[in-house]
Amino acid sequence: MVFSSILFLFRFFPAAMAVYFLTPKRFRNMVLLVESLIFYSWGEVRYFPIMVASILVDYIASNGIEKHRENRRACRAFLCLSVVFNLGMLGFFKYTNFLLGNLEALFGLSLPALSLTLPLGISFYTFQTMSYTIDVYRGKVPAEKNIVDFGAFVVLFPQLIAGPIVRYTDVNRELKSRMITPASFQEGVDIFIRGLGRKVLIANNIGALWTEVSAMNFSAISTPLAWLGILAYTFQIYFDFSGYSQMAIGLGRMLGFSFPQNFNDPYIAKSVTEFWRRWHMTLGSWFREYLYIPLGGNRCSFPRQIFNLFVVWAATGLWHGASWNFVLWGLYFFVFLVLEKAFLRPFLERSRVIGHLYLVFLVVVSWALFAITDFAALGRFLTAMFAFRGGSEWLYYLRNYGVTFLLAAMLSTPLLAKAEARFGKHLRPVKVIALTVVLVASIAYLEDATYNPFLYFRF
Amino acid sequence: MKQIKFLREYALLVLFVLIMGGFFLLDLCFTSNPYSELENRKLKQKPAFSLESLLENRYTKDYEAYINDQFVGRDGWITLKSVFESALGKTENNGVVYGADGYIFNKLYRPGLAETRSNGTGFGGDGEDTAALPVLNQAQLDRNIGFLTTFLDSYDGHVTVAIAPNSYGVLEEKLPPFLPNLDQEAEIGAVYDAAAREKVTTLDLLGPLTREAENRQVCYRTDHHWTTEGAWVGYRAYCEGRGLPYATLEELAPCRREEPGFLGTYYNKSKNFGVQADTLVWYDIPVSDVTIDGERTVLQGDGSRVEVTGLYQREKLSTRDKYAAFLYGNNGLTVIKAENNKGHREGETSRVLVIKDSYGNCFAPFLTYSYDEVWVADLRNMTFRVSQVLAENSFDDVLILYNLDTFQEDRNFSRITY
Repeated sequence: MVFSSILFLFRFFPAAMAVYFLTPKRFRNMVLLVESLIFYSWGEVRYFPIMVASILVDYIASNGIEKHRENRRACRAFLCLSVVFNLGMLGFFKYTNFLLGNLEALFGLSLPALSLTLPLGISFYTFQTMSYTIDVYRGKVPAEKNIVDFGAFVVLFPQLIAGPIVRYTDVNRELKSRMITPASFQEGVDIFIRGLGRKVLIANNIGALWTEVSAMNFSAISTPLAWLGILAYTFQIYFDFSGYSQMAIGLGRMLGFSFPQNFNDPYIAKSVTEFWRRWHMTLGSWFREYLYIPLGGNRCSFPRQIFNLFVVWAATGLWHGASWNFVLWGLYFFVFLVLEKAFLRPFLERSRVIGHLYLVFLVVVSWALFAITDFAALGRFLTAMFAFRGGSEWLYYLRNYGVTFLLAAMLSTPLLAKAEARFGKHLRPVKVIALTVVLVASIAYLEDATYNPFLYFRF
Repeated sequence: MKQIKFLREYALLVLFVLIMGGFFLLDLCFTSNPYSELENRKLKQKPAFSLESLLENRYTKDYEAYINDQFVGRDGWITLKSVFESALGKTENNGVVYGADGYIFNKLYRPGLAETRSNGTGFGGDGEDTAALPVLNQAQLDRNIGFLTTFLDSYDGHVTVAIAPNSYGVLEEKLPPFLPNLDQEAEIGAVYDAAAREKVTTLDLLGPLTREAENRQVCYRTDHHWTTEGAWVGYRAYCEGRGLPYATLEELAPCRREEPGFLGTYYNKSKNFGVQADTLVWYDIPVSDVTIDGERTVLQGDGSRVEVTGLYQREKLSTRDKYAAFLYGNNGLTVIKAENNKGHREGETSRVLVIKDSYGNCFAPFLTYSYDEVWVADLRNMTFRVSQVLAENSFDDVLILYNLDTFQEDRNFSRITY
């Protein structure tokens, strides 16, 4: 189930909220656990035991560590259990076919591909539970004794699908007691509607342009259309992802949780280094804390630092998808991060204009690597981008998507937040009306997406 | 006083709860619609629960489809979306493009060579369906051209192949500027090149339609079919090509009838406001007999049978789907016995077999002025074999008449070789 669906908005969400608030406080985590398990199992009922196993393994591992604090070997064994289980699950479901495909290509074998659907949110919750057990091992946080509370944390439906990656330390206090006031609930509603609007009204809308361009023959499209297309994808991926995170944060707020921020206007960054501090922040900090720093971070020789960065960015790329283009995409950022670390950074910081232009250019090009899985097609697309080819078809698309581009560009900057901070007090009714319109429009777009008129009667 | 303060302080909260809770409750209370006229399809009903269907993920999928199809105020939401699209400055909605003078068009692109579908999982919304893109189905088109040539090679008599263009090919000057769209002339030309044989005529329809578009309305503003007069232009071109006498529009004028208020399939898709409805024209041509699949009654969508009394199912003219009046819709084999054949010769029965899609429905009636018997076959609803029909009857002519859009995606065209 996804948030941006009629099923979620008008069945799951109202029912889940009603049951949640009608339940006495001490049973609310139980309600959350059951509701979240239904949410998780909806798309693939047979994966229900996988989630139960995930909860149990990390519950046992963390409590085992705590019980055998004195016995280092036992602690290590429990930690290994968690890491191997989580990475094993992720590896099996997400990377088996990628591995088989590569083995085939390397050794000329013919291996059967598995037809697996990916368990919902597996890339996210495996990271969350793994980091929890590691934190217990490091003694940063006591193990959770209550399996209901722990289960509710692992499968918590607002952040299950697409993050933010919420660590146990972010929410352990709220798992025990949460304050929900009309003001905090309304804040959640505000954030949720904005997220929904970002996803449904901006991302889906501008994504339609990229969908059209990506179906065209890359050897025939004009250079301006190639740029328009990849720019549309640039906005689509940002508004899609940040919209989802915002919906999650808003839902969490309504339920009494404060999840960490995941995006901080990444497209206004002036360097790749800064971009990655603003983009998918919970993933970046996860890799920093649980991979980069354990490898030695930057408290080691420069060549070793570069090696550490290489590992982190290859892993970051691969995390985004089981295909070589994602690895390429990760390593692309690695190259520029190293260049910035070595000498580029002071130069970029000197001029804001150059920094912005540099970053936007690099990021837009990176999305081409991200969006196009097939290397031959990627080559044709990059040719269309960089070897000028004339044409007029792009004018039609500019005419059609111009307003959406402007809106997306405006919402990629802190302009709206600044205006609200300045005039918000006086314009509260305007804000309420605007958010209501966004909500109603989003519902209309979601319902329209299922509208499918047949041209021919019975044909 | 306290309540008013609360309402002012928490207006957003109150509105949100009212909207979400209100539609939730309304949606629970409203009964299901069985059928959507606008979409021309049955709407999903609540699935029956069984453990088996749950474990096979069928239940959850069907349930979601049911919720979407039956959401309260569905029609209104879809119209609202169309309004928002226009507010965003778009000149298209749901794949339908808004052109000049109230004409709306479909789009069709040549497919790319690229497989770009990203299989990344890092970003939200996995499990989302992307809308089907308007891309030419090259593989199906190639197959259909193959079936066509197989048929042409196996049949000894004369065959005319006619591919009718869509309105975006005919009325190019009414399209929005710079819109990239399929080159219909080239695509139709490719079919004709493959079909070219000694006993085959390939009929140019794009040329005559484009020329006649200055004198009369040959395409609907809101529907994907040609107008009845557009079909007449095609009929004249066909008769001239075959050296047959034909009925002029002046001769037909006494039996010309009009049905205003026709909103076609393009409108159903886009629901653009300020739409200009079309007028459906039909010619009340007298004929001596019409049978459909050998019967004088025809099966309806709801399972009932209605009597066949002529060329048109008149009660359809007052419904939304007015075009279904022509030849009672798309039926298997319709045999029309003419009484106005201008080329009739005593003691002889001239016969034509038209293998067609729905473009043929408003076209076939005109042929009664040029043949004694008009046989109309629709491969999509076929209850017979083409080879058998051809073997058991003698035809002076065979006409294969398809619209390019149908021809490039019709999976039933293989039946022409059966």
